[in-house]
Amino acid sequence: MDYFNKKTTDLLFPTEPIQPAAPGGAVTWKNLVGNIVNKGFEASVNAAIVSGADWGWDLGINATFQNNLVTDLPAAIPTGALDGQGISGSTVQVLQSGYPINAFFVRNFLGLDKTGFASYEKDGDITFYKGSPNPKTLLGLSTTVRFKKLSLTANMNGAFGGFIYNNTLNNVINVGSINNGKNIALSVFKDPIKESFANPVTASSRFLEKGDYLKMANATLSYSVGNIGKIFKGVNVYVTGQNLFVITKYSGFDPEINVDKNVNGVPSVGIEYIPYPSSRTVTFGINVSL
Amino acid sequence: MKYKILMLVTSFSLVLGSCTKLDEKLNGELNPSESGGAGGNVAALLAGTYSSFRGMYMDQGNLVALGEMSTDAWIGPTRGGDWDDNGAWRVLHNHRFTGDNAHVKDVFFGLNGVNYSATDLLRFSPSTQQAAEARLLRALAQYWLLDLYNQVPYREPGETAVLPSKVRKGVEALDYIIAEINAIMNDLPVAPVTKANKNGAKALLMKCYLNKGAYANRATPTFDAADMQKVITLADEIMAGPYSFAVNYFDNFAPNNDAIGKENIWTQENVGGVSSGNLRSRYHCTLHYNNAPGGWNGFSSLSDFYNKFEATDKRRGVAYNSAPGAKPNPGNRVNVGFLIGQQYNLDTDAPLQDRTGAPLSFTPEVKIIEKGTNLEVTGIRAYKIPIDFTNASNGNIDNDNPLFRLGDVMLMKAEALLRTNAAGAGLTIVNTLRANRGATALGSLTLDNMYDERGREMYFECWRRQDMIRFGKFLLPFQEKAEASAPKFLLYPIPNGQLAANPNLDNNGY
Repeated sequence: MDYFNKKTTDLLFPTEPIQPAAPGGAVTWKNLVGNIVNKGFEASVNAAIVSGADWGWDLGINATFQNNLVTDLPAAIPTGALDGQGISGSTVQVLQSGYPINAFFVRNFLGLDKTGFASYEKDGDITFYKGSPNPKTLLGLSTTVRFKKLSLTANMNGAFGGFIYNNTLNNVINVGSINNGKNIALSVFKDPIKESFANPVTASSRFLEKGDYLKMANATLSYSVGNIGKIFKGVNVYVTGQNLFVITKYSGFDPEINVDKNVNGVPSVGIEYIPYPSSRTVTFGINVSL
Repeated sequence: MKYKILMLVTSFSLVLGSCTKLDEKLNGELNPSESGGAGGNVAALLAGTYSSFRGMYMDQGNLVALGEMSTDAWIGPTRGGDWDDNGAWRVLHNHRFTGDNAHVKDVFFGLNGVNYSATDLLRFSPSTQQAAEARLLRALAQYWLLDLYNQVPYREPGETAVLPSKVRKGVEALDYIIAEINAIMNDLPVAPVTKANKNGAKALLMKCYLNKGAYANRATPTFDAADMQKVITLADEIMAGPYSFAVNYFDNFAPNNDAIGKENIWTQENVGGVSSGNLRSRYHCTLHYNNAPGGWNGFSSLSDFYNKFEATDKRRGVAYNSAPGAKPNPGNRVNVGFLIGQQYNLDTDAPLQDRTGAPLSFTPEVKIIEKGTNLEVTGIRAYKIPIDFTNASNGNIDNDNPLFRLGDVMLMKAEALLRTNAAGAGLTIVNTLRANRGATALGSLTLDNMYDERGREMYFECWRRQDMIRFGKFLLPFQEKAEASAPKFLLYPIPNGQLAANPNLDNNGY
């Protein structure tokens, strides 16, 4: 069990040209005025639950609970520039004192009105803090089950409590895309109220989704054959799968994916925009020693 | 030896690199002759500065966005799926802007770009006149920074742009601008109107003195008699110059306004078919798709503002058929000024339709968010630049953009007289102007009708916000701004990124 409280000061940080400056001036790296505090604790438990001659079962759980906060920053620094027609130029994240790093500040979506137009708190003229992309809990599970020469090892990871901005849904498969003969997401055109095709494409909390997930990162089933004759020693046959499944309510490709949406080099976190989905691999193999 | 092998089967870490204090040292420098480009070519640098200033004034964003859309004269409604633009236009009008607004940032960067380049060229041994022109351009850029943000960052010629700039604020910034203009006055040329010139500098000085009390206290400005007297004296000096009323009010904005815009004191030059700023977007942004030339169906004026005009007032709109290349306009329809009601084909006089087939008839009413079936036709469309059809296809229109005009100078003088208990003399000036514009004479001059007269004469020339602040009207509710705004909106916020980067700037109360 570890407790951590880490305060990062003088973070080397990209800074936009300080005006007056020549138009199109370059970003320079400076020490950030302001601090970033990470605190929380980590716990891990490893247990050999069954440890017999034929049967064995090991289980390891490791969990991190963390809180992240920006302090003493004189002004909010924007990042998370979205892409796409209608929302180009809008940023959805800030580094701001009193909030987690890369806090999502977006319009507060209240629902669709009778005409199929979105309605927002304060007409969408003001943005509100609607969540952090940083997970509050990180979880790792590893287990090994062994029966005689057969063994199964599985590793899972998960993250909970963070939000993801679904820029793909916001802009690629939004309802207006059908005007251009493109596919749209069913989720934006369902009863009871069908979204108007003329509803402006707008960045809002509507596209902010919980990014909770638990993923089967890899699993290996192996059979230890042993020695075959006098030449082949320690023969081991196995099949390994990576990225086998993910349990999540997130509607996009993969809750683990993070597409770079930086502004002037200030990194973004937790924004999905037409990424490649993470690949699934299955490997068969034989290990042999001579 | 015993090794402990630690296998982290599953590991998570949030890596935030830990850093030590960055100690920046420059390992080498290029001198100007080594840096290539325009380094040392003062004429090219000065031309570049003029050119970048054009961009600040001419398109539908920038100064006209901050100076007019925040007022009762101009609105950027969201029309269905069009013109939402993250609400960036709406918040200007209903005073909900913040330090992350795109226009607030664009203008701060654009003006400071001029501020920087006009300063930087001074280190390459300009001629006396070149230096004076550059310093007047810089004074105008700094003046706008003062007017909009109350904070004027500045650098010395050749100063590195890596470190935070120093900042002059409020009256200190104004005093510096006034001193600069006076210092260069005798080195400025008298002509042409398309370049920084002596009377243009005097008109800018008039703005400085007229608004001095507002810069000291924007919420409750007071007007010092000595400052007003300076406004009057400067006006008399300018009016002794070669200016007279143009035949038509819109001649001052016409494609050939360099020849017939007799009221213009200082303009930004556009050369038709060759090189222009984006002035044409001033009519594209408001005209409907089915007007000619086709527009973007965006911005509108407001009926409360439109109703300030008498029907005979030419400034409200005329059939302007004398521009080079003008359409025949057989029905003599209003084609510059405020467009309201049914619109017509200017070649055939056939009535136009909108994209749904309904009559293209602009309504007086407009809401800041339009959702209805008539969202294409709501709002009075308005522009004061007669369309240059000759250059419509190549995009480089010929209309020069007036920065300072005789009408502005006359009204500033009348206002200074009014504010020093000489309303009678002020009334004479205002009525002289009104007679020329086709409006009936006023019986008396008051702060309220003085304010309205400035609106009628100066609309869309970026001064409306300044006038509203000086007359104490800016924070009040107006047609599509339901609530009185908080006093902090008298200033625009400093863009967030700059506030974070430069400790000499403050956040203007945001």
